[in-house]
Amino acid sequence: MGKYVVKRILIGIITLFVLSSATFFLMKATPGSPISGEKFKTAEARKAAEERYNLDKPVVTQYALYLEGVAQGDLGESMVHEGRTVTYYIGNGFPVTAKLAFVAFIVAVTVGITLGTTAALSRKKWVNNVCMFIATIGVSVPSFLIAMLLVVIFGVNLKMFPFIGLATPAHYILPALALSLYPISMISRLTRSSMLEVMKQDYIILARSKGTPYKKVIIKHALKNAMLPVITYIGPMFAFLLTGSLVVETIFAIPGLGSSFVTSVMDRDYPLIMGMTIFLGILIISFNLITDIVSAMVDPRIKLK
Amino acid sequence: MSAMLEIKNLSTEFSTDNGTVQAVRDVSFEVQKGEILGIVGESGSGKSQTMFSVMGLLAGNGRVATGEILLDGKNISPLAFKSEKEYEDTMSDIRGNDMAMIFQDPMTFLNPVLTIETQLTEPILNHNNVSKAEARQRAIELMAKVGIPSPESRIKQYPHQFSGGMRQRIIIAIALACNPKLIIADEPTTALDVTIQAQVLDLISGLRDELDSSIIMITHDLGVVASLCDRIAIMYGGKIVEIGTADEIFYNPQHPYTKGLLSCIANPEDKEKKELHPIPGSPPDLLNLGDWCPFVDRCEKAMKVCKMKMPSQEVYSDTHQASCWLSHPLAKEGKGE
Repeated sequence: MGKYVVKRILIGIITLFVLSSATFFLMKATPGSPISGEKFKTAEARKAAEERYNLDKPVVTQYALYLEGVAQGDLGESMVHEGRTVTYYIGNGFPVTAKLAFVAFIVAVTVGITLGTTAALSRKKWVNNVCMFIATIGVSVPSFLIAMLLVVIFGVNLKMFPFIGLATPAHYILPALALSLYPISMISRLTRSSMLEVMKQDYIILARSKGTPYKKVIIKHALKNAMLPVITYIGPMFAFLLTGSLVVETIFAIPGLGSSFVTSVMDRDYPLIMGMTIFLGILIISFNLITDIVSAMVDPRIKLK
Repeated sequence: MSAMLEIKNLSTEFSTDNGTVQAVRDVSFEVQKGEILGIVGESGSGKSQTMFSVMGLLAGNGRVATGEILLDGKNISPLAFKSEKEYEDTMSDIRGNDMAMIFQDPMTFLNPVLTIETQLTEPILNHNNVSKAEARQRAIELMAKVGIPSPESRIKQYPHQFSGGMRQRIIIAIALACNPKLIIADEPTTALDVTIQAQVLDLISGLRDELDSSIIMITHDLGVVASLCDRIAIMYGGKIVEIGTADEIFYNPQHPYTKGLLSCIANPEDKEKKELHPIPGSPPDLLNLGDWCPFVDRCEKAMKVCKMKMPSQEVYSDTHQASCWLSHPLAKEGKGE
């Protein structure tokens, strides 16, 4: 187990290197520059900025210099907003995004698993239809529409929930719903199909033959087995939620990671793009590793090698 | 002796996309206390589904259509209950407690994500008012009884850490957990290799002597039942075509299907039986069963009447009955066609 984790971390570092290299050179190959705006109108100002940010050196040298900084824990400074470090952006944005992502994750997992299990096990056809209808809406309606509908209906018209910022717990309800609807749909679909498959297995018959009541058979014997495919989905999904969503953050005026990531790309703010990419890369790689470890804990047949 | 299990006119159906499958048709038999009954038949003959009907473990599309199932005098047919909930509640008390089932495939019947301890203590905790520690102690004793070495350490393991034979022993131990009065063994040795088969059969026959339980052995292997069973029922096309004591079935078979099964046993020492004589054809389609003898298409001695009417049961002795037109008095006189 320890050996496995070390191995996966080493592989993760290699993956990060490939990711950052690809991002760096693609970013440089993309037209546009952070110093093409109003601030750098004169040739002198531009030249000074180029020197300051090493933009006058060959791209490979720039990358080497960048990696040198990263190795020392320095992700650099924004080229657009002077004096603001990349760490400052991540340090400010991530806690906000993470709190919201956590709420959305809990909602998605509990609602998704409940809906999926209910749909799979209910003998009434309409229950299954209602659950699957919700799931279909969740995957097919884009999040900006969901978010705006939530704001219009529950925020503006019914005035049930606040919808600007994240000041109180009540502020979390609408953005968390908007974020979690898609994962709810995916989780409930996965749970349903996996549950239907598990209920057909022979060990369910054996469990019933012991005189274990049906409900207990589901909770004790079926759910754990049915969760395996769901776990492989929800791990990366959580990482994805942690990267923040531009749409939801913009509509609900939340100062999270998602919006600064997208603005950094618009501005060609090279250090910020790189810093964000590496940070999100680390998140996704770690959650993949956590997913594998959790799967191995749930299913003893999985060997981590 | 009185009957431990009595089945009267049991019929079980499955609704499928292609129509209704009549898996069990008007089956009646009884098992006495302390008796071992063998039910023999090929795949799809309805032998397993008969017992799944008794246990109330039919798949979702299956249902008991007619009949009574008397367990120690009490009717436990789902038809005897007002609601499904009432039936399930009653059966939850009976399953694993009064009657238990040993399943055929050790590879698929144990839950892969639960420890042996969880799975083996479950029936004990279901039916006895004991603590977890007491249940664990009982589980360890059961494991030792079915011949699993060092049960104290192995109880913490998962099914995939056990071999096929050891898993089958666990399945047997689960069935024995509450000393059931009736044990239904559904092909308990099919998935095992021959040396393990003999050990498992010894284990099962030892149970009767020890617990005085009744045992129903479902199998397609006549060799297995020969040594073990007091009485044997032969099933074909969802019906019992012949039933009798082991001696009657082996030395005085009446139904052509029973005779066919017997000639499928190879005996290298017997010159006459050196060659195998397989029964030609394949089992009937349970979707399209007519009201005539199900064996007619494969029977060497089929007559016109066989395809017209269901043969009635002919009685040969108190214990021996068979359903075949050949046994009809008219056929014996040579007047049948």
